[in-house]
Amino acid sequence: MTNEDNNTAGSNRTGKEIVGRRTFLGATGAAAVTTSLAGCLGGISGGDDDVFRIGHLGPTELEMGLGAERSAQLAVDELNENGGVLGRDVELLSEDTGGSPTEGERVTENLIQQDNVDLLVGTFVSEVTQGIIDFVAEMDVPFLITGSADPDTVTENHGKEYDHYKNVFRTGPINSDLQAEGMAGYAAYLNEEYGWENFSILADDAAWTTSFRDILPTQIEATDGLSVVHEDRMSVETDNFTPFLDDADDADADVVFRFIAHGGAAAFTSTWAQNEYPFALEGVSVPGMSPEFWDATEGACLYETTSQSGAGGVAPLTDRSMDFVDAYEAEYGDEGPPSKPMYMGFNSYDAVLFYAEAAATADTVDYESNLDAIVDAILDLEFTGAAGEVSLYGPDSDYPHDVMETRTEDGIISNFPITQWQPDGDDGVVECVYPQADATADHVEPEWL
Amino acid sequence: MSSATDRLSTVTGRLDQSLQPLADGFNRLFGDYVGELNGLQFVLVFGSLAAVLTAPFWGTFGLVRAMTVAAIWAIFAMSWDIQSGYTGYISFGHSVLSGAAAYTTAMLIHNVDPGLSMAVTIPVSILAALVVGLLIALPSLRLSGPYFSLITFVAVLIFYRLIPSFSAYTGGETGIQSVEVFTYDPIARYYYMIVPMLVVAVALTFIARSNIGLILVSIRENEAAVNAAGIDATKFKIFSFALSSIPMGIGGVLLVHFTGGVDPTTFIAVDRSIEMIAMAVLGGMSSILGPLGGAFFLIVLRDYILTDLANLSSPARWTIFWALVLAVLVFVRDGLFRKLWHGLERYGRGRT
Repeated sequence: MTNEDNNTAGSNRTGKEIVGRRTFLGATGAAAVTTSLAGCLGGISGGDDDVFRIGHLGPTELEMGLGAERSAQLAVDELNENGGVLGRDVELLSEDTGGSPTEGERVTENLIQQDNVDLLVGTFVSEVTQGIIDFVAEMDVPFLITGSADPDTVTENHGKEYDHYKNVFRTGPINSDLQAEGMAGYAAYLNEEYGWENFSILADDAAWTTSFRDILPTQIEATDGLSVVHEDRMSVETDNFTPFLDDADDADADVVFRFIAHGGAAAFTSTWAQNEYPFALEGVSVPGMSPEFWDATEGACLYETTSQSGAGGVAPLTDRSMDFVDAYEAEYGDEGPPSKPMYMGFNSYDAVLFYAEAAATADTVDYESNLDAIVDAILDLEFTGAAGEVSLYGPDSDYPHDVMETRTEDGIISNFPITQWQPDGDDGVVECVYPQADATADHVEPEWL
Repeated sequence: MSSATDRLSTVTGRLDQSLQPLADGFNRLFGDYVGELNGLQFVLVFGSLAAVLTAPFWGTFGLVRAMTVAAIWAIFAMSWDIQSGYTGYISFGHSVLSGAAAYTTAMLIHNVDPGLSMAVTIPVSILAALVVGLLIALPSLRLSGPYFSLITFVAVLIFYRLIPSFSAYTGGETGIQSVEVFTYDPIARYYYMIVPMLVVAVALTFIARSNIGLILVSIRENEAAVNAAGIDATKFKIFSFALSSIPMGIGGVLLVHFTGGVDPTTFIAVDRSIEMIAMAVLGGMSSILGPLGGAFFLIVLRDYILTDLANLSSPARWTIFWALVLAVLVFVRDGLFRKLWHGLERYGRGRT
């Protein structure tokens, strides 16, 4: 019974009264004094040493996050070989966000408050980015986003309260509003190549697909003759995709643009391939970006495409691309998947080097007193990274501090590569198929079409 | 008593004797309300209190942050305890109550007026937790046996699914991230959470050790006898649920102003309810301070010892977390802190 805790024998009821009360009051008084003393947390280490610390945030249990962590380390090694950042040694502290906002907040606070990082790089899941952004803005630590592409991150923050969020940037990938426009350009290209006219859009019910659901249909239909004949959202827990694919089939779709980021992507692909649905499978599939996806789907991913920043590490997008991929393979080739850096790896690698160059121009990494000089240097920088050219939009644009898209002479977005799984004997191989300037092979249509 | 324990208690007994005057002071002032302590127990209670109150001065950032989170979860675990632990009507749905308060705060800011002051949102949110608590309690607590637990369990599942269904107002899976935090200063933030926790702990201990607590325990032990004594057991069960809802609301409000936003996974998912139960069980059900200790133990372990110190991956952390709860269920069913408490009582020999 509970109350047996109370049933302590009531002895010593008399005497020693003065001692007892005085001791008691003394104890409470001491506690009160201690609480009113505002001091420093004992464990905080000094940040004024000669090490430039970079905090990397990502879901490192996933291939995407692990590839990014490794790539950031490669960039750090490269900097250290060349004298560090403004003469300081560079150190990478990588934390696993677990893809959850709560865990993301915890590790970010640790990195900033305890480890005193000078730069934050990363975040893959939009929800994590949005969960930590207020805190990071408050602390003024420069933060380069390299994974999540949600435009709200800048439009809802920098767009409304620029000064507060000016330490936050995205150096890649281009945001999903721009990706939607890029995808519409790709739709027009497919139409030219094959005459495909009817498009279906199937998107995860998640924050990152908002632009593809809201903007992409209008963008596709802006091209004469193209129409979106079917649209639907898929709950992230969906594991049976037959109804969605049947609907797309019934609507007479020539192409299904699917936007999928969770493990169900393999089931989606297999359902499509085994039933030989009469349409091409295009769009964005995050699991499909894995260099190991061929084995995971036992080849069912043949002919499917996905857009991915960095083009899967198969195309020389810039002079730096293949050197980076080679360095990655040399360092981590034997250490298990991912065997290539994946898109966030490209962007994290670029972000670290991008910041180092900006710091050299600004001649400071002291964000507490010289944040404006750092921000100016970042906004002025035109940088060639492994994934492409990186320049950022200024404060007054629609997407402040977001990476700019590059365009061809015809105005088509060109830093938006699409890769396809193509046959290679009995095996599959990733080829870059779009934009044509970067393509390593022609787009191939499924043989059953 | 074996000879080893015998010898040990000669030492501890003497220690206890020397501490007894301190405990007596406490007993004379408060013994009638919260029960009496021997010397060793006094040191445990006030030593822990002093440690908790001074943590920012000796703890590392990671430890203090974990203790900040633990303070909020301690409120949840104690609130769960006053209802489920005491009456024996186990609720699997307490995260709905904290979630209701947190979502009320966030939705008021998101849908009504971003400038609403905390003076408005906080009381309204706590009230919302109470209303939701009564909505669940009124129909379900008339039932006995496992049906109450099942209904609370289903209530969480329904609430969890309702959030994405009204995503225009609730922010869906992403939730609403525009809630202001109390402060980002780690020290001030710590006291923002610790002070309400201590108030809740004192209030609930006081109630639990009063006649109301006695009736709640009697319901657990023999509900028919309570009714036969002319006390309406159902009324007290509903009362205990309402009593539990208010601190759940307080905890929910603290949590939303800690994280700066709500989302269904952090606030509603049934896992959160089970974690509250785990903390209460590990500390010792139906003792209020046991669940408080359980919350600190488990969260400091999970968010500090296994992460900052041992550097384990998140799946490994959770596995250890649940394995430990299982071990306590098997070997120390009354809870770690109750075991410790009675141990001190025995070794103290304070009142033989």
